[in-house]
Amino acid sequence: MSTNTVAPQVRPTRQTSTPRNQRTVRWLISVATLASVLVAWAVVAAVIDDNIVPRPLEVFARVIDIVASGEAASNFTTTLAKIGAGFALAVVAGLPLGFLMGRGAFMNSYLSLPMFVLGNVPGLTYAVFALVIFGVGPLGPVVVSASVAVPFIAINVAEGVRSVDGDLLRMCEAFERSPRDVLRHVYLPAVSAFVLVGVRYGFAMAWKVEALTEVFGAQSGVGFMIRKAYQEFQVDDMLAWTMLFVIVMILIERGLGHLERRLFAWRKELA
Amino acid sequence: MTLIASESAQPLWRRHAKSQLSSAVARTASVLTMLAVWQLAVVFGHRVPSMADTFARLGSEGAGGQLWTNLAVSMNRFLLGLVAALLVGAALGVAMGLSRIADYALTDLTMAGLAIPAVIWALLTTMWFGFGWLTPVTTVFLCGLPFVIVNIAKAVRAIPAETMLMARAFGVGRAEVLRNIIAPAVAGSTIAAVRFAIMSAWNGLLLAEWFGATSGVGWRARYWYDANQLDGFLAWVLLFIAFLIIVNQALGLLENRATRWRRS
Repeated sequence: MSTNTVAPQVRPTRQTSTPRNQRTVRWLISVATLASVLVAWAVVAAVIDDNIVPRPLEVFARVIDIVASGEAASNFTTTLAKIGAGFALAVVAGLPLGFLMGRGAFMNSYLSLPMFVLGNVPGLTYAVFALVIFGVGPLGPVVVSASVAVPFIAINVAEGVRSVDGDLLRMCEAFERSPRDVLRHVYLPAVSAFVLVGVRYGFAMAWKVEALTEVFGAQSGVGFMIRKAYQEFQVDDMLAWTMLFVIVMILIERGLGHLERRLFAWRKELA
Repeated sequence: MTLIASESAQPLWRRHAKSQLSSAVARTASVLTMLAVWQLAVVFGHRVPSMADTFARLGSEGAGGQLWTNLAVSMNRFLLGLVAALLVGAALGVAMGLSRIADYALTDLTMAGLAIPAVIWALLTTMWFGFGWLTPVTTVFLCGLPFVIVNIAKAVRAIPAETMLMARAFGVGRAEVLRNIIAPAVAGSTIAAVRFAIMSAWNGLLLAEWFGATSGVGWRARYWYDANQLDGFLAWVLLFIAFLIIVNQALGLLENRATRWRRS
C-alpha cells in the first residue's frame, strides 16, 4: 500500500513543480517500460531456446561487435551518403515543382496525382526497377531516395508559397521591387522553413525505401547487411542491425528537429 | 432564362463549374503525362516493359484466374492484419491520449516502431513463421500499428480538457464519455490513421508475400520477377497502385464526411 501514501504527496507538487521533476518521472517510466520489454524478450527467448529468437544479451554483443569492428560506421556512411545525394537532387527538383503547385490551382491539381504516386508507390517497385535499370551500383539508391523525397519537399514548398502574405507581395509590387528581390527576401525566408519540414518527413520515408533498394541490390550499406543476415539466417545479426537502424534514424530525426527549431525560432506558427 | 435572371448567383456557380472543369482537365493531363513518362522510360531505359505488353499480361492473368484468386488471398490477409492493428492501436492510442503514464511508457516504443522499415518485419517474420498466412498477417499488423497509435493518441489529446471536466462534473459514465465525446472527436483522425496504416501495411504485405508466401499479390509479382518477365511484375505493381489511389480517394471522401460536424 505504499503507492497510496505516496500519491497524495506527488499530486500537489506536480502542479507547482518545475518541468525537471516531470522529466525525471518521464525518464523513469520510459526506462521501466524498456526494461520490462527486455525482460519479456528474455523470457520468450528462454522458453523457445533456439537461434531463431536470440537472447537480448547475444544481440547486444552483436551490436557492440558491429560498432567496434567499424562495420556500422562504414555501412551507415555509405547509406547516408546515398540518401544525402538523393535529397540534394530532390530539393533541386522539388523547389520548382512546389513553386508551381503553390502558385496556381491548375498546376496543383495537375501535379498532385503524380506526387501522390511518387510518394506512395510501394518501395518494392522502386527497389526492383532501380536494380533493373541501374544495376547494383550506388546510382539506383540515389535516384530512389530522390524520387521518394520529391513529393514531400514539393508539397511543403507549395504550402510555404501559399503561406506568403499577399499584402507583402502587393507592397513589393507597389514599391516596384524586382522579381529577384521578391524571390530573395519574401519567398526564400517563407519557403526555407517548409523545405526543412519536408526534408524531415521525407527522410523517414526515403531512408526506408533506400534500405529496401539495398536489400535487393547493393554491394554495401545497411540494407545489404540486412540482406546478408537474412541469407545466412542470422536472426541476431538482423536484430542488431535493426537496433542500430532505429537508433541512427531517431538521432537524425531529433537532430533535424533541433535544427528546425534553432533556425526558425522566429517563426512561431511552425512550432 | 431563369439562370440569367438571378444575376448574383450566376458567377458563383459558373466559377465553380469552371474550377471543376479545369481540375478535370488538369487531372486528365496529369494521367496522360504519366503515361508519356512511362513511354519515355520504355524507349530510353532498357528492359522497362511497354504498356501494351503489361496490359496484355494483366488480361492473361485475369483470364487464367490468377488475378482474382491472388487478390482475394492478399485482401484476406490484409484485412485480418489491419483490423487487428486498428483494434490494438485504438486501445493503446486512447490510453496514451488519456493517461500520462501510458504516454511516457509507449512513446519510445512507437517511435521505434515508426522507424523500423517494413522489409525488416517481412524478413523477420519469414524467418520466424516460415511460409504461411502468419507471416504476411503479422507484418501487416506490425507495419500498421504504430501509425494507428500515433494518430489516435494525437486526436484524443486534442479533445478540449473542459469537455472532459464537464463530463466528469456531471457524473457521465466512462462508456458514455468514450461513445459521445471521444469517438466523434477522433473519428476524423481515425480515418487519417487508417489511411497511413493502409499505405504502410499494404507495402508490408507485398514484401512479406514476396519473401515468405506461396500465394497472394506479392508472391505473384515475385513469380514474374524470378521468371525475368518484368511485364508481369509491372502488371501487378499497377494493381497495387490502383488499389492505393482508390482507397486514398475513398477515405478522403469519408474523412470529409466524418469531420463535417466541425465545420457547421
